Amino acid sequence: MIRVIASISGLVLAVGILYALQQTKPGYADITKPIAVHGTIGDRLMARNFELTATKVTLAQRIVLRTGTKEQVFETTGLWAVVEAKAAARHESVTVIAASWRGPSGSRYAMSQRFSTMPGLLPSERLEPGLPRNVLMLFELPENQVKDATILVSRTPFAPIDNELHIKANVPIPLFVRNVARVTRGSTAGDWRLEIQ
Amino acid sequence: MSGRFSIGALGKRAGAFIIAGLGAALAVLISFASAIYEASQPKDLVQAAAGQSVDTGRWTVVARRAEFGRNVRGAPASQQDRLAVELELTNRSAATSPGYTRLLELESPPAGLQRPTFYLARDSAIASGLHPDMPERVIAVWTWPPGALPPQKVRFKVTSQIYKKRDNLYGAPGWFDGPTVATLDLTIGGPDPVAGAK
Repeated sequence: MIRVIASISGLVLAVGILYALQQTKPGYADITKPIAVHGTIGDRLMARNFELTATKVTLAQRIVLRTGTKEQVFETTGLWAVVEAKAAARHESVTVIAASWRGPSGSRYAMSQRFSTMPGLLPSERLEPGLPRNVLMLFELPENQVKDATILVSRTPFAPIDNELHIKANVPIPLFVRNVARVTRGSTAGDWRLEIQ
Repeated sequence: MSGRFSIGALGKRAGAFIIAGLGAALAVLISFASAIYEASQPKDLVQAAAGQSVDTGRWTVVARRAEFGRNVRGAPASQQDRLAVELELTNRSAATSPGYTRLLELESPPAGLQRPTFYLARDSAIASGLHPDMPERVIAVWTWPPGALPPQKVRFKVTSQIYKKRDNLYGAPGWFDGPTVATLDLTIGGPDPVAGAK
């Protein structure tokens, strides 16, 4: 009798342990997830092959691209977050193409791809070691995703076991939404200027 | 039971094999029968019309109007006949995604029809990733093969996308094409029901 009880309880224990192991096993996404480098606005953050300092976050209702006397207006149903940053490569030239805005709900808003010809955007700038450049990241978000947000920057959208910058964006509440963020193309190639109105 | 029929250790082992075999046979039978049962009971497809919201898992789709011709509202001009469908898409997942391009499929496409191009209704730019929880109006444009009959009414199959916590290859989470969940009937040049309601 005791032997039967012992073998049944042993079986139950084994099933329980196996179930617990199965449930707590880290998934593929956890094993290969990027290695976070934490910081906030103004911090100089080092990833494996680039460095970036986010300097300012501005909210705006519309973004205007001015080329000569022509203006192209980009509207949105939510609002625009304009993130200014200084970025450079560390060891060799590199292009950083992935940035997203993670709101308080955990949703990720990837950098907007609506600007095909805008100068100064992070993914279109080739970064060189020792030559920090001013770059822009433009995000389109609903209003409720602005506070308690984190800006995630990595070299590629899928960056397994590479670095990902986690930049805390402490946007003050109540939100101060500007009317227009205007990017003006300069006279030489790749030259640009940002004005907020 | 074992006492009377036992013929030693060999008999015990044979009994264990028989029980294990019966269990396995039962499992195969149940899974086979349930697969056949599910295949024999197809889920009713939602019959959607213009203005009706269809939940496809990852996206909520509202078709607003269909148009046919060289010049279609919201898309750059072209020399070829095109079928344009204006959709309101809402991304219900947690990340920006361009995965809406396969949502609609013509039920009886003319020979040689290519995949559609998507434009943003707001500025006629090529649409790329749509952001979570931000409804956006896009225009799907199919370039109609020359010589094919212009359509009067079109019927689309609406495909779903389903979330898997662990996919079959890597065990990674992701969104995958699911079964057809609805059919969508549109009349070319029909009124925009959403605009009419406002």
